[in-house]
Amino acid sequence: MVVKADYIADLLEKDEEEADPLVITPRPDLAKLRVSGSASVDLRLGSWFLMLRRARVSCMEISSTNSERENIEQFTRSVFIRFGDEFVLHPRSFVLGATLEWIRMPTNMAGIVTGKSSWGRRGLIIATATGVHPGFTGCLTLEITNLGEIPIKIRPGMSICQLFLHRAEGADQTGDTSLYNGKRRPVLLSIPIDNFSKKLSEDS
Amino acid sequence: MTSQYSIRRVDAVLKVIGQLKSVDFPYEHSKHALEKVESHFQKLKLDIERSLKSDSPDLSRNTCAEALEQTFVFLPILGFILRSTDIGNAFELHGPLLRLARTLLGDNIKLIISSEWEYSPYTYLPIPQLDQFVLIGLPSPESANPLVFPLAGHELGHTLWRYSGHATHIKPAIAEGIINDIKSNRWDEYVKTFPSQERDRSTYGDHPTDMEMIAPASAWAERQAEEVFCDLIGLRLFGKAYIHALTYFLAPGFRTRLPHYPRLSVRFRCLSDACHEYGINKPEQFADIAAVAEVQSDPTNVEKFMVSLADTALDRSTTTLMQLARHAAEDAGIKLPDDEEIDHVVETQFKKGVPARGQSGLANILNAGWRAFQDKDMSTANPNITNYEDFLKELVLKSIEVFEIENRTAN
Repeated sequence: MVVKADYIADLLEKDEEEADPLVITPRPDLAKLRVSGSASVDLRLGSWFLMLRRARVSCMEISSTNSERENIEQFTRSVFIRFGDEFVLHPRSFVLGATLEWIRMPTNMAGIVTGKSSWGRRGLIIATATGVHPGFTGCLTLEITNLGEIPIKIRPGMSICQLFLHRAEGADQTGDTSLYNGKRRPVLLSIPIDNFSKKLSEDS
Repeated sequence: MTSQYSIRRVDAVLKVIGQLKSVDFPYEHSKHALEKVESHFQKLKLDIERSLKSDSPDLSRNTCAEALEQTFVFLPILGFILRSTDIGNAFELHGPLLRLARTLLGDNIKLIISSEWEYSPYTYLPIPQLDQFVLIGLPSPESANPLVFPLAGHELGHTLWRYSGHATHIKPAIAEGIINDIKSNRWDEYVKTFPSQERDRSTYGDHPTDMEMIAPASAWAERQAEEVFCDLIGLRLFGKAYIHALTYFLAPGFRTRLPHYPRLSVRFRCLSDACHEYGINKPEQFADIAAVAEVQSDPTNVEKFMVSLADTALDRSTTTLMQLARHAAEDAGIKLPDDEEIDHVVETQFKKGVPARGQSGLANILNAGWRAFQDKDMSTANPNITNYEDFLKELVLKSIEVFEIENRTAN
């Protein structure tokens, strides 16, 4: 069940009293959120970006025998854009960003990040795959791409996406243990090859 | 011909500056500094060109020599500015530290934080062409480690030492103290160290050569006093977090004694005394680092005597230094870190894995970082985190950014 904005505001207001709270820092304007009538909370763009260095790599090879971590560092470049400055996203270009907000999910909630229609109608697509698991804590990595035909300036601090929150039911109290936790910059990790895929690839 | 060499060298520097201007600057002050250096070198070039037209070989030679000297001075600064854009730095520190620097030193201060390839936090002393700029370098491996940020307080102290004129005021007091010390307590030692000096004890100090004889001791004592003052500024700005950061950085101490640096035992004793004086609870792990013996490498008898005089002179100055640092912070309206706020951050925010918010100062955040770092319950409070220390650093850096956002958006 998706929770409405007034309920989100109530949860955020008492975050310090709860043992397993929902926290969004910097905290959104709760009064405004409460009367928004929506079922989501807007999130802003942070200052850190991760760009791909196209000239450094021929393709992304997830089954590489080399260390994936080393490869990722080789073909990405961090960029910091200060408040007041801008990042120009050209048509068909792609960059990883991060939310300005640090999110902490309680273990009984999950979230989905989506773009905002106002941006989408201009060709800016955000967060194609951002599910936020119970217990996650950190800034959310956003996949940002310009599918339009005109370059778009994006600025740290601007409202860029929205977070929908759901109740997560189940007895398990374990939170998200992924390596995406606890980061303030956008994160790109190697894709693990599981045994199932390995076996399928082996010669019979 | 050599004048043409000079023009080409200045052109080469200007070309480098032109290239540096195209890098991504995380904040405007690095770019402003670069523009100032560029203007300076454009003027040097103009001066050389004018001197060539003047028919005065002396003028031309001097102008070219000036340009050469300035190239030596500014090239390391250009490197410093370039490293200030290194993506490995914690750019989040700039806003909050700038605010603190302006409170302490004046509203016009501009700040550049860079990463150093010397393993020591560093500051460039004020340079006329970069008036109002404070340049602070943190060692490259630690430049994004928020736990060492309190050491920047020490570096701000060096600028304050000059801006406030303490260096000028303390110089005669130190020299006079050394003369009196020799007359009253060390006369036999003095005569033994300088047997060829036939001086009368009662008139010792009246002759200008007496001052010249003790000049090394006096200069070392001044440098030592500056270092202790800077420690005290670091303590007054960042409280216990400064001591933790200094301990982290210097432990287990140096085996070699440098005469112009105070002994670590003295530095930590001053910090301990100042904790009492300023009302700061002392951290527990004080003793380890203060116990390391520092030995001068092969000193002559004269050097030993001079160092001993400098050390005694410093001992006499510590109370004054403590008061100077205290007044500097109080006059600027800088409060001590607030233990209640720090506890609140650790218990209600860091332990829940979220950054601090609503803080009244950078010092509270850095102290909360250290308290959490030393709290064994913290990692169990965040069981899903694989690398707890990295996580804590991220939390502290995000807290610093949140502090900046809250300041920018207040009212």
